[in-house]
Amino acid sequence: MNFGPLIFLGVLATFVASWWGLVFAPQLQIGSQQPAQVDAGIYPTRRLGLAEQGREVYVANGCVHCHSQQVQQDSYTFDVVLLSGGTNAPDAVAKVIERVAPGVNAKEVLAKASQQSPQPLLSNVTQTVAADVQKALKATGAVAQAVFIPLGPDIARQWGTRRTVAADYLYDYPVQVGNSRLGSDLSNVGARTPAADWHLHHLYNPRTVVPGSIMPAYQYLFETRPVGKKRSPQALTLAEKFAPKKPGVDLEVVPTSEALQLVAYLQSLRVDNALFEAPSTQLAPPAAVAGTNAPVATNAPAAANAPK
Amino acid sequence: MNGSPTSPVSTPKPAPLPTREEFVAQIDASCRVLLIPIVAALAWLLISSILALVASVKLHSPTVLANCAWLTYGHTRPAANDAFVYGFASQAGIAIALWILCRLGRTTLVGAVPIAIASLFWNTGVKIGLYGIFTGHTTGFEWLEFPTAGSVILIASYAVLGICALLTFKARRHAELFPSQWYILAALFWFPWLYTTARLLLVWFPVRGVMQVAVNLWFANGLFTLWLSSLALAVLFYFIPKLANVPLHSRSLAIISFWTLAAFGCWAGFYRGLPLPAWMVSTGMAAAMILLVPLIATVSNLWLTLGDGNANKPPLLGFFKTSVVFFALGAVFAIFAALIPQLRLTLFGEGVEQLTLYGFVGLALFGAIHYLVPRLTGIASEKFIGVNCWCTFVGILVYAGAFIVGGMVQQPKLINGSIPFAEVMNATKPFIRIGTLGLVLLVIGNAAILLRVLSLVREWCRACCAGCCGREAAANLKLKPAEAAR
Amino acid sequence: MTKDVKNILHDDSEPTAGSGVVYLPMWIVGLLGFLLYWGCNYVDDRGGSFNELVYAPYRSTNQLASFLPTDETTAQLKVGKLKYEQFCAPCHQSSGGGETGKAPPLAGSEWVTAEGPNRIIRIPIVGLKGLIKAAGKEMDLSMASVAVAGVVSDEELAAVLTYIRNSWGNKAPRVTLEHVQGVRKDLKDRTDQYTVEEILKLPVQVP
Repeated sequence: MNFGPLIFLGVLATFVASWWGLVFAPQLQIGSQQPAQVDAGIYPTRRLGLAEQGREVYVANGCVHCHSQQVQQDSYTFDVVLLSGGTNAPDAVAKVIERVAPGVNAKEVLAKASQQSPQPLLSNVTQTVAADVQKALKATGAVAQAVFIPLGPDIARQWGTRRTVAADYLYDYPVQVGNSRLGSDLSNVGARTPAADWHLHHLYNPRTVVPGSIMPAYQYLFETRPVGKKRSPQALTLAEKFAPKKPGVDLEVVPTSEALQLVAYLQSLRVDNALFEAPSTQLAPPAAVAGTNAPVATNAPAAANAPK
Repeated sequence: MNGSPTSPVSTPKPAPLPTREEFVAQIDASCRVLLIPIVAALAWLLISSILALVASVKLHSPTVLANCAWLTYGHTRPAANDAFVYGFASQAGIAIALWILCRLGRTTLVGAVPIAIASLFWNTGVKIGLYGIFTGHTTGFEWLEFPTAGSVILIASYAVLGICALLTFKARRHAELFPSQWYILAALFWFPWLYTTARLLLVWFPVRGVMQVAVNLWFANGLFTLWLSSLALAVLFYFIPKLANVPLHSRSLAIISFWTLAAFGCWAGFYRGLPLPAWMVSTGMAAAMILLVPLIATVSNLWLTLGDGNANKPPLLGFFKTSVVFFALGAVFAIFAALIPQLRLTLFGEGVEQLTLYGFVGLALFGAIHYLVPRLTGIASEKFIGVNCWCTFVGILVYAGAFIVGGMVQQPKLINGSIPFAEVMNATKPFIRIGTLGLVLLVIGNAAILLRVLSLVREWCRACCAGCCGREAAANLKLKPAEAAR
Repeated sequence: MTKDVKNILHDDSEPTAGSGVVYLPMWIVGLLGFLLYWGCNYVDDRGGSFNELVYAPYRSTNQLASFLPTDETTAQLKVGKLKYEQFCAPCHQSSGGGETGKAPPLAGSEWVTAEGPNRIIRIPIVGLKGLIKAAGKEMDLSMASVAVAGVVSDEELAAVLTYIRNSWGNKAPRVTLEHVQGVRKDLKDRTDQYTVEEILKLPVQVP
């Protein structure tokens, strides 16, 4: 029997099956995904101008081989915070608080809640426990809220406030998720280190801002030139050991347009909102508490976050 | 010479064949054109390892040669990777696959001239591709960095090579198929589909957003599991029983290993933590585990074949034995990399990649080249085999080993959010330094095999020119005494 | 190791794989079966039902929806609609339009959209009879007490009332649990229905 065509058919079938399952089916699902409506508008928005050009500089220099752009998340947990003590007798409310949140000084929390909201009650509990506490306190007239908190080492390092999902890469081409973390993850670098100056120094010589860094010095993105009549306002302020020297000439280091584009791109990288498929730390609008017009405060994730 | 050789035309009932040695010599003579891709491949191998060495040095001493844009890690690393896969592994793999098809089919190579031209164009494509990477015209997708110009030339050259391979296969005189032929046929079909689909969906009519990650990883996994692994497995399945002088231990195990690889190989590739929907990631991880089946089937089959053989085994078998071991290690480590959180993102991921590329694919191809080139050139020589063998073996142990161990040290630090990243980065430095030492050994080993092949070719050319006045002199090549010192 | 020249170039025969009966080693088939079973379970467990919105570590879109911050009103509307369909729609209709001879309309009814919910909390608890004018229609009917304490809880009643006050074009502040609790306490001992005249004498705001 001539097995040649049989092998060909079998190979074709298995290959097409994998293409169908891993390329075609996902394309049907997420291939035409549109930006989502979130509180702040639509997400994501296209990069424009310098940031878009900077993206091309990022790709051309192969930054993806050391830096990833994917925030990972291990799990999640809930905190419970007290928004308001309500109008009932504080003793009754305090008794309930003591029952549901044993580690907390109930009277102190109630006293503080009237001035500053929210006050932490419970930390790192399950969704059911948080809901029960919320209900128990609601019966007394106090307002407690469960706060959703994503957990993971990436989130603890502020590499993002939540995991990244398909929506985050909608307008990226090519998507640079990377598969190597020789350098830090860059998904949220625009929120983490927003200062352009830091980035410029880091690009010129990473050792100036991160001692012991293994990142290459991208000095060809900068121009080292003699100082003219006046020092350029864009010139980098470099310490003695990092500054270029030439006998008898005063030198300054000025970023080229490529460096500025790259920095604009880095500043545009943020993952600090919440999506339906990737919830983040957020506080619900409190139940209509008579008389208060206090704005809703969101819990700062970094302090409350202990990775499991 | 006794008997008159028949013309190598495919006929249903062949005329009486010449002696075994003469027939084999004819087949090998027809395959001489394969020296072009082999020499070119080895040159790319050396270039790739030098670039990898530069990249590695840049990681622990970033101030060295800092002003040269071309030499930054972001340029040298992808260039080294692509030069290895497209310049060396694919080219040498195709060349050896063609020769194996000839030998197993008991037929001569079809289309020597188109193959020669296609090989030259292939190298042009790789050159253009690498130039594109260095000048920043990369596509940005891993293992697909060549700009369109280079990739189109690669596809066109491959088409010619693939057609010649199919014609050679069709011209076979021995009907029964051996496992190597299955793997080669499959690989020859898979590669163009993988490559053109990936380029279509990523570069020419790009899909949107994170779908690019899915296609890219599907392609990268296919490149390793279906293309390179298939070529290397074809080599192993061919040479291990041949050199051990026993039949393959179990044909049915080979059938299972082939079809499970075909069925599940292209489904793996997604690792834990990717920004892809949960079903895609978990499917990829489940498939990675199921790949244990072809792994165990193949390794046990080959290992038992080695055990079956008699005591007197040629030393060249060492290349293939080591290749099987690295195949097993690489596949098992790859499963760990897919399942353990963030392990893929550490040095471990790169270490496993290099272990598979050099340790499994590289050693298999080296062994095949060491066997093949003396027969193509007719020069009997064992020059530099030892240098190549030991430098590659120790080099890959040191290089990949350092990265794998480094990754295992880096991973617990990486998943502990309270450890500042600077500390994680510092922990990698000693391992990268050790890796550089391993790469130095690999460069030496690669130089050795290139020099070996070049010297054999040179000897052959010299003998050819010396005897160009008479064909009888050329026919006596086989008995020319070996020149290297023992 | 023999270094004879002929040995280096002399070829062994091509490898063979043995033909004849192909027997299948059972251990590898068993391993394949086990891994396939494990794989299916794995994807079933973590695959999020192949929903593209589900990313690890989440398990389903229901779970994701439960994480969303919901305000009280949205939660009430959901429950309220359910209970309305169960208890009220048979007479007042799902469209809130009522039915002549059966029940007055709720859509656009000034009773429903009054500033405070005092009257409309009392009506389902003890009932109402008499000539009622609502949304331009006049009907002389008798409504039994529907929201009996054991049948409809305080939360559910508050939810239904919030629902009717915010549906079919109606817009009015929600009815809270406290409102309902206060009224129920007030009506603890009462068993007979309100008459229209009597209830119109009560204030709209809950005392």
